[in-house]
Amino acid sequence: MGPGNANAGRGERFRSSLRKPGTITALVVGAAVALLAGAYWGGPASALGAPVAAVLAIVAGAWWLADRKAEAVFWKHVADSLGYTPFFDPTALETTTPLLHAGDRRSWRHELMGPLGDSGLTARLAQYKFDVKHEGSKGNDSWDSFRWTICLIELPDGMQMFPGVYLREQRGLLERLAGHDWLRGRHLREVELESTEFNETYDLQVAREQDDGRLRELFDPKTIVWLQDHPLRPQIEYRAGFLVVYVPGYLEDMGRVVWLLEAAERIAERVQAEIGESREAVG
Amino acid sequence: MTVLLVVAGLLALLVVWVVVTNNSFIRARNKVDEAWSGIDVQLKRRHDLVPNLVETVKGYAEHESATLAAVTQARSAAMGAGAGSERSAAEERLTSALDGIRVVAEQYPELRASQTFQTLMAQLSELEDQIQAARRIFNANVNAYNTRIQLFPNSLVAGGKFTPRELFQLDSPAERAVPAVAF
Repeated sequence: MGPGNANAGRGERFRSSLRKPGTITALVVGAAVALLAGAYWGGPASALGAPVAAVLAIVAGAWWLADRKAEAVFWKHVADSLGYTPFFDPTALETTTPLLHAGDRRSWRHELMGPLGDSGLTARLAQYKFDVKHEGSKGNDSWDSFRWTICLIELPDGMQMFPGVYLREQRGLLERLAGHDWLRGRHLREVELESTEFNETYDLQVAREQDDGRLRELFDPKTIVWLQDHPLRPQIEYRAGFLVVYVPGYLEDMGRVVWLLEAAERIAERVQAEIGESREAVG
Repeated sequence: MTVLLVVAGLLALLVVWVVVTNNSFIRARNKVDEAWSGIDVQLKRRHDLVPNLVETVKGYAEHESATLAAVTQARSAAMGAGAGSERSAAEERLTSALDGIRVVAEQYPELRASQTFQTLMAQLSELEDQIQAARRIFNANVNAYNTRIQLFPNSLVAGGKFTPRELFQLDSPAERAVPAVAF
C-alpha cells in the first residue's frame, strides 16, 4: 500500500536523513567552517551565530529534500495506481484554454497521462501554476502565484457545439480585487441557469455565439445539482475541443485526486452525450 | 432648508430601496417560473414515454390490463392536471402506477429480457432522476423567493403583488415508506 498523501512519510525521511553519516558530516563541517569564517570576518558574536545559522540551513535543506522525496513517492504511487505515465510537454497545452494561458509566467508539476476511468478517453493530470507580475515604480517587481490542479481531456467533436464554456466558482469581493481574472477581455457573456443556488455558487460565462438551448441541455438538472453538491466544486473550461476540469490549489491526497478525475470523467461523458444526441438529431 | 434636504435625501433612499427590492422579487419569481418550466419539460418527456412503455409491456403481459389501464389513466390525469398541488398529486399517482409496471416486469422474464423494455426503463429511470433534480432546484428557488418576500421589511414592498409559491412534492409512496426491519 502506497502513501495516501504527499506528506506521508516525510517526517520519517527527515529523521532518517539526519542520522545519515553524510548529513552528520555536513553538519559538523558546516558548523566548523561557519565558526572559523565568523571568527575571522566578524568577531566573537559572528563566531557564535554563524555555526547556528549553518546548522539551521542544513536542517532546513534536509527537510526540503524529505518533503520533495515524499511528494515524488506519492505521485509515483498515484501514477502506478491509476495506470498513468508521466508526460513531458505541458507547454503545448498552454494555448488550449484561457486558464492554461493565464498570467505572465506558467509552470507545471507532476504531469501524468492515462485513461479516464472507463470512458475510453485519455486524461492529462497535473499541478499547474501561473504567476502575475506587478511592476513596482522603482523596478521592484513582485509576483502573485495562483495554483491549480487540472485534468485536461481532448473532446474535439464538441468544438462547434460549444465554442467556449467557462464555469468558475463565484469569487468574493476581496478575491475579485486581489485575484487575476484570466477571462477578462475575451468577449464572453454571462449566463444564469435556472437554479438560484447554482448561480450563487458558480459563475458561468460562454462565448457570444454559444447556443443557449445546447448550453441548457449540457447543464441539465442532474448536472446542476451534482455540481452544486460536489465537495471539490469542480470548475470547467471547454474551448477549442479541450476540456479542463480544475480545482484551486495543489491536490495532495489520493482521495481528492481520484475525486477530481471522477468529476472530469462525468463532465466529459456529459459533453459526449450531448454531442451524440446532436448527431442523432441531425442523422 | 437643511431639514428639507435631509428629508428629500431619505425619501430618495427609500425610493431606491423600494425599486431594488421590487426588482429582486421579480428576479426571484422569474427563477421560480424558469425552474418550473424545467420540471415541466421533464414531466412531459415522461408522459411521452408512457405509451411506448405500455405498448411494450402489453406485448408480453396481456393479462396485466388493470395495471396498464391504471398507468394510462394516471398519465391522462397528469397531462390534464392544473398547477400546484393538483399537478403534484397527479404526477405522484403516475409515479406509483409506473412502479406497478416494475412489479409486473418481475413476473415476466421475457419482458425483462426485451431490449426495448430495458431501453425504455433506462430512459424512465433517467427521466425520474432528472425530475428529482429539477424538483430540488424548483423547491430551492421557491424557498428563496418565499423567504425574500416574507422577511420584514421586504414584506411591506411585496404586499399582495408577490404571493408565496407552493413547493412541488413528488415522492412515491415507496420512497416515503419506512423500511421494515425484521430479525
